[in-house]
Amino acid sequence: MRDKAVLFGKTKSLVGIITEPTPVFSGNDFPAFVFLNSGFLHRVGPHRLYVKAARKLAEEGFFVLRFDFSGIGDSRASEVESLSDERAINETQEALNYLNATRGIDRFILIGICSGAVISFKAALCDPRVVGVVPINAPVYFDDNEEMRSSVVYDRVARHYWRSALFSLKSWRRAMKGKSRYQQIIRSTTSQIKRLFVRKRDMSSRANNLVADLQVLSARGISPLFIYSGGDRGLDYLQSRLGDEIHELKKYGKLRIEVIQDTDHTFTPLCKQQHLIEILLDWAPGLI
Amino acid sequence: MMEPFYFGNSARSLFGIYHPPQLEKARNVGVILCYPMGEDYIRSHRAFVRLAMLLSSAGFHTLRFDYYGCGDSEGDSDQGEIRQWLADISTAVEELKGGSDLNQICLAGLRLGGNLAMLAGAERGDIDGIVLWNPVINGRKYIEELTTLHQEKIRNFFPGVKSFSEGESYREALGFPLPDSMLKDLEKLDLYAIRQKPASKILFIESSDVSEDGRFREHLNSIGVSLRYKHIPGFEPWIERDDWGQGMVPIKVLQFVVSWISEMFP
Repeated sequence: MRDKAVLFGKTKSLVGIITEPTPVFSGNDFPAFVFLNSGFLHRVGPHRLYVKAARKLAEEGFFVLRFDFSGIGDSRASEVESLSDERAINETQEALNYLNATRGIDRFILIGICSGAVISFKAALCDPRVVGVVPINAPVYFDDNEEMRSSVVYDRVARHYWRSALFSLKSWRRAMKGKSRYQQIIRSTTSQIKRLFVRKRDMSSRANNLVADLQVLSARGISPLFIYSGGDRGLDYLQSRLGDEIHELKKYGKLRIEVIQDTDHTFTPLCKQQHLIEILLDWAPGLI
Repeated sequence: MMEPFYFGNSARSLFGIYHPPQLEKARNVGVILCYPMGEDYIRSHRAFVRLAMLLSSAGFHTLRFDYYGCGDSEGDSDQGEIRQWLADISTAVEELKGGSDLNQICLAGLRLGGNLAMLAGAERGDIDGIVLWNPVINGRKYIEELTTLHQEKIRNFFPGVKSFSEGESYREALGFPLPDSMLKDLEKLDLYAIRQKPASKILFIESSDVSEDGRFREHLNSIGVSLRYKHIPGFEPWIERDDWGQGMVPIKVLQFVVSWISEMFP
């Protein structure tokens, strides 16, 4: 058995599982993977996906730590601080400190689904020991700007009406009978026409923060691997935020985006779980 | 301070968390929590953490653990078997007894975990109390329920897709494999078939809206169990709430469980 249970952090209250690599493959050049909680789900991940991925990565020579933030899973709730991104980032860094102190590892790859994706990205920005980051189905809440989030959600609704409802006879019949939200159709038409003229400038200003963050990571040699379920609203958000710059960023290797079609936010179908793990196994050796 | 650790046979290590009793005068009673399986386990994990903390505060030595092929324990998700999981419960009983000077052992299980507690109790003959929380009364109905929930999820997310598992609609359920061996095990589940008394004291608690029609209570009485029944509707921790992937923590149910065990095992 290569899994070990550990307690770490300032108050020794963070519960984690270290999966040790198969010794014949492992070496000092291998960074360690650290998996971050997906929402409120404990460290086994949705459908036990983190356990499966951790054991496969260990077979390829990587140390892997899966742990619970305080107040989630088995880790005791903090008595002084409420759940926040800042605290989760601090606890992620405590995990890195622990692996460094006990295993001598000083290079790390952060990975997480949903909220874990957001924390992985933010922690990567502020800790130079991070050499790789894999945000999976990062939700729309990538920053704290309410106006921006609303705008992206609105764009998504508008696009739905533009692509489907606006050109559907059935929708117009429903509108004539007062059964459709015809204001929405009018708004979407106006919105999409405006987009033709202002899209580039608008998207460019929106993208500034994220592009700047990607440049920071790129300067450290990090090309984040974003993985999304096809149709996940987080993917819409990323594409809206980056606009046309997404092609440049991909072209120069400043990010990679993988989309797994026909699956939901937590990868319920077993074959899609396998697909996700295969992407990781294919990508990870590039960081050794 | 709780203690996470691995125990059991090194080839089949099990992950557990021991919650020592918090009161100055601890009871010489151990409680082992028996999780349900699959997505039920993921969704109800938070409720089990809370239950373990309440039991620990009430003075009980409490151990919750993952069966082989589940959670953080060794084994792949398709390697689970009822026979193996019953052996795992026995391993957990010996582990808890070995670390503490205990006079009595209780098992508390939700859904399939309730069945495992009953089967383990009937086989071993040395379990003193069982909390049976919304058990699977009939295995075939349980498979139907899992299948329906899985197909509903597929229909909602992937219109036009019938199954992801090569024509076999039973092969996976809500993100977990359901191999033939497990299906055969589940089909055989029938709580009425248990005729050996699993424990002298049993709390049968239901927290779903619809309660059992009373026949199973009659069955438990007929095999000589001292039975307490409680229905607290509306609290189903194995059902996902608000797309969180987690069920709610049914604090009223947990408090009732702790008060019953405290009263029965002072």
